[in-house]
Amino acid sequence: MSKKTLVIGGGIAGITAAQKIAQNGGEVILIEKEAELGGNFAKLAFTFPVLGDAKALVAKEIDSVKSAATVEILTHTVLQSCQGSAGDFTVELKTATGTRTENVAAIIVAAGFHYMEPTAYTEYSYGRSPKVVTSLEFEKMAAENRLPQGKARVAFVHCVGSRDKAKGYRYCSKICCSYSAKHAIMMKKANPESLNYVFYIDIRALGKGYEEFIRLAMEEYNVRYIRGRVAKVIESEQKLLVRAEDSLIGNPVEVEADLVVLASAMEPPEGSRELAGVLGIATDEYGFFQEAEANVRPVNSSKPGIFLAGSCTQPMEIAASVAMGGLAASEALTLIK
Amino acid sequence: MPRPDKVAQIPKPEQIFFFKSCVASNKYPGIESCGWDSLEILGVQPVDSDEQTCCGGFVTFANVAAPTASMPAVARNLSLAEEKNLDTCVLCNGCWTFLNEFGHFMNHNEEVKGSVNMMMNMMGREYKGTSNVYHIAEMYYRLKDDIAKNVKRPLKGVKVATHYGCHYLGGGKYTAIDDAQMPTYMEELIEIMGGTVVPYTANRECCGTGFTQIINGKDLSLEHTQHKLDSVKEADPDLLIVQCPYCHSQLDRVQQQLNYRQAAAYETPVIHITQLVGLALGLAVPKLAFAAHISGRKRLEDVLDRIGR
Amino acid sequence: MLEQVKDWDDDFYEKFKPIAMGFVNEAEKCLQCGKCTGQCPAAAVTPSYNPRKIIRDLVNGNLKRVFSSVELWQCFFCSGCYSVCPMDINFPFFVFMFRLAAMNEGYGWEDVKQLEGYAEKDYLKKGITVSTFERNPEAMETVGDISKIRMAAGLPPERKVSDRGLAEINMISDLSGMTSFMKKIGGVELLDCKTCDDAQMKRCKNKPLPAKVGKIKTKLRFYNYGEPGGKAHAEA
Repeated sequence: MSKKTLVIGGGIAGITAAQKIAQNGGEVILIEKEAELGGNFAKLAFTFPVLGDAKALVAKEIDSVKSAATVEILTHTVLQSCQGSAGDFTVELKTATGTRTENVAAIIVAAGFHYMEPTAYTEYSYGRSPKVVTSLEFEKMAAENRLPQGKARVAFVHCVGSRDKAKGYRYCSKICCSYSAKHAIMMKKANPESLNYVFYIDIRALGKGYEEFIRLAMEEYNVRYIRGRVAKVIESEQKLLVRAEDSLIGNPVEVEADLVVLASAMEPPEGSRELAGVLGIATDEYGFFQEAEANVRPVNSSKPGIFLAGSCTQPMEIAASVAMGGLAASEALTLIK
Repeated sequence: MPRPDKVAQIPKPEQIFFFKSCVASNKYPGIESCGWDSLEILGVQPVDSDEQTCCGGFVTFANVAAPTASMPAVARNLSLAEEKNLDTCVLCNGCWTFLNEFGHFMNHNEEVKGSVNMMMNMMGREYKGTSNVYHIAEMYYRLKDDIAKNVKRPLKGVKVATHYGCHYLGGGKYTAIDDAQMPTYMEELIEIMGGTVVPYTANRECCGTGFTQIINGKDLSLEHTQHKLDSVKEADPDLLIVQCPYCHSQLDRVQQQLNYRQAAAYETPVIHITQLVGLALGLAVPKLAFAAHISGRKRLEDVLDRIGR
Repeated sequence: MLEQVKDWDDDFYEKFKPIAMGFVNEAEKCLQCGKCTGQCPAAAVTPSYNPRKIIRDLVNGNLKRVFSSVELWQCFFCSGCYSVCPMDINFPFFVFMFRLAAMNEGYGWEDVKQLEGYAEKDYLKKGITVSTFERNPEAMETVGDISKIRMAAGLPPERKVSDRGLAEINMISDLSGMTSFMKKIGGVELLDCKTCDDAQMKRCKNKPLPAKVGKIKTKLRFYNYGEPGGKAHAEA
């Protein structure tokens, strides 16, 4: 009988799960399909609602898991097949150099999420104007000091792909309200002359410090919050015309913007249904991995011995992913002790 | 960008039922003659019937009559094409939406279709729902290779701006051949015919006819149209292309009205996509019927002088 | 003014759905996000017009406000709202049905009366809604005789709809209640039965011809959704 645990995904949930198992004396194989660990966390500049240095925070966690003696990290690696049952799975891994078969007692799926590519949102001129970017691209621009200079107007658009039956998903992506506030603050900090507008439908900032964070953006950083989903972004000369209704007043408004940031939806990781097929576990209607019971068994998949962690189950913030990684680790430990 | 799957669904028939438009027939006959002749050149024989009425569309039916009257009127016109076993080609966004929406509705509602057919039967007709309705602009896009082969009068050096109009792309969110927000098929056609596309900011704005607003709320209608025309004027195209005779009428005539009311100087010729294709395919100048146009007549003549009469 | 929620018609929406023949539905899916109003050409020139608010009143059952409003008559029917709606709500259809319902309650007839002229004089008499008639003297002068232009383009001087076609649309109008509705709006003279052929005469229910009736008083409408705005109002 194997005593190992396979962790799929080297984002913050997977890293946390691997660390916790190792700290409790378990052996882990941590596989990551990309070249580096860190997942989506590593693509950010700052965290919220506390503006922490994301790169430093994630680097610390990566170092810690890398230094754990009983964690074997395989990058450029994906799961190819999986047989067996709880306590005795045979998995075949496709690594950078070939394939490899392992016997593991438990599997933790921490496959993360994907930021939706808003290509369907032609009304926002995405893909046509270089000045219309996704929030992820904004993070990159911020990291590379490429944010607009001078008296620039920047519009942040909520719910691009979320709460949209026609072009996206019906669910709420949960974190966009907060990260858009973070982006507006980042923008104002980087360029105090900038004027920032956030277009929202409802503000969903639940959790300790979140409401205060949104208020901080409004009160300290003079971010203008306009209630109304952006209808159109029209290219005009050197500017972008952002049209929306200010629905609290009931008037259509137009902002002449220099940059438009689309808060694109969090969607299931690419290939989530295929991965679920290989593992023999269930997904929900969108392709997120389905938990056995939403309230008291959030990390149990539909199959014993396979556990779920992080944003591959639903849109969630970093703290929740870490918590879920820890719980998944403790479930896996019950199978190897 | 055009949707290839939708384009592929459009047939290349030998014959097609040619559904005429009220504005095209009575205000801008060039749309009708160019539509007919260009289809012939492109290898599709249009078929007429003098029993077709105008769609009655938005002016009559959306206000004066309930769907109980509009449904049979649509069914009657479509049954004329069905009798000939043909699909229908329309010249107007309004006709397209009106025939399509109501046809679609009847096809998916047996009860309504049954009661419509009771009325049809009294006239000795039947509505089956077998004739598909295509806009002539989407037919052109389907036949773009044939257009390219038949260009006799290349639009070299002609600056062309587009206006897609609302009812085809907006109402056809899921059925039109292109995206409602960022359509490009007319631009592609213009380039195929050798013209130069001129972008302008208010491209996707409505023409302002609002089919009833020009009659009932004229001030609002003019204000909106002026907003559009200002943007067009800034880009200064030689021609503004529409695919809907009603937009055509609004954009052409309102220029003159604004010039009269405000001593403005709007002088952009507005022509229908059929006339542009007719122009490129080398139809004789009287066939284009530019004499029926009101604004930018001089500039139209200049264009003809440049590309040859 | 304080609004009494108990005055709303709680089940109006559910009752209206079947009456509206399937043209009014999915309103309950509305998120009130305002994307419709943000792109609306009518709202851009007259800010009190607001599709979002009208949908809200429909779902809440505050129909009095919708029907008695001026705004109901300001839609351009461009379908832009439908094209961007994240919930695929086809709002122009709502307006279409609301206008009919409002007319039933006695609102908006003065607007429709002008359009009724097209239906009566052009559509039902000639089969073509827009005639060659030119109201604008400058346009008339510039264009001249449209029949000559038609002939030069290789078309018959006048587009004509066959007698059978005309008889059939008149029959549709009679049987569907359109004729009697137009009669109510004020003054209809229609084609007589002389144009029907024998076969149609046999099938047709023999109906007395509608007579001309006098003007109808219509109820007053109000700007129920805010300040009318727009250039015209700003100047006034």
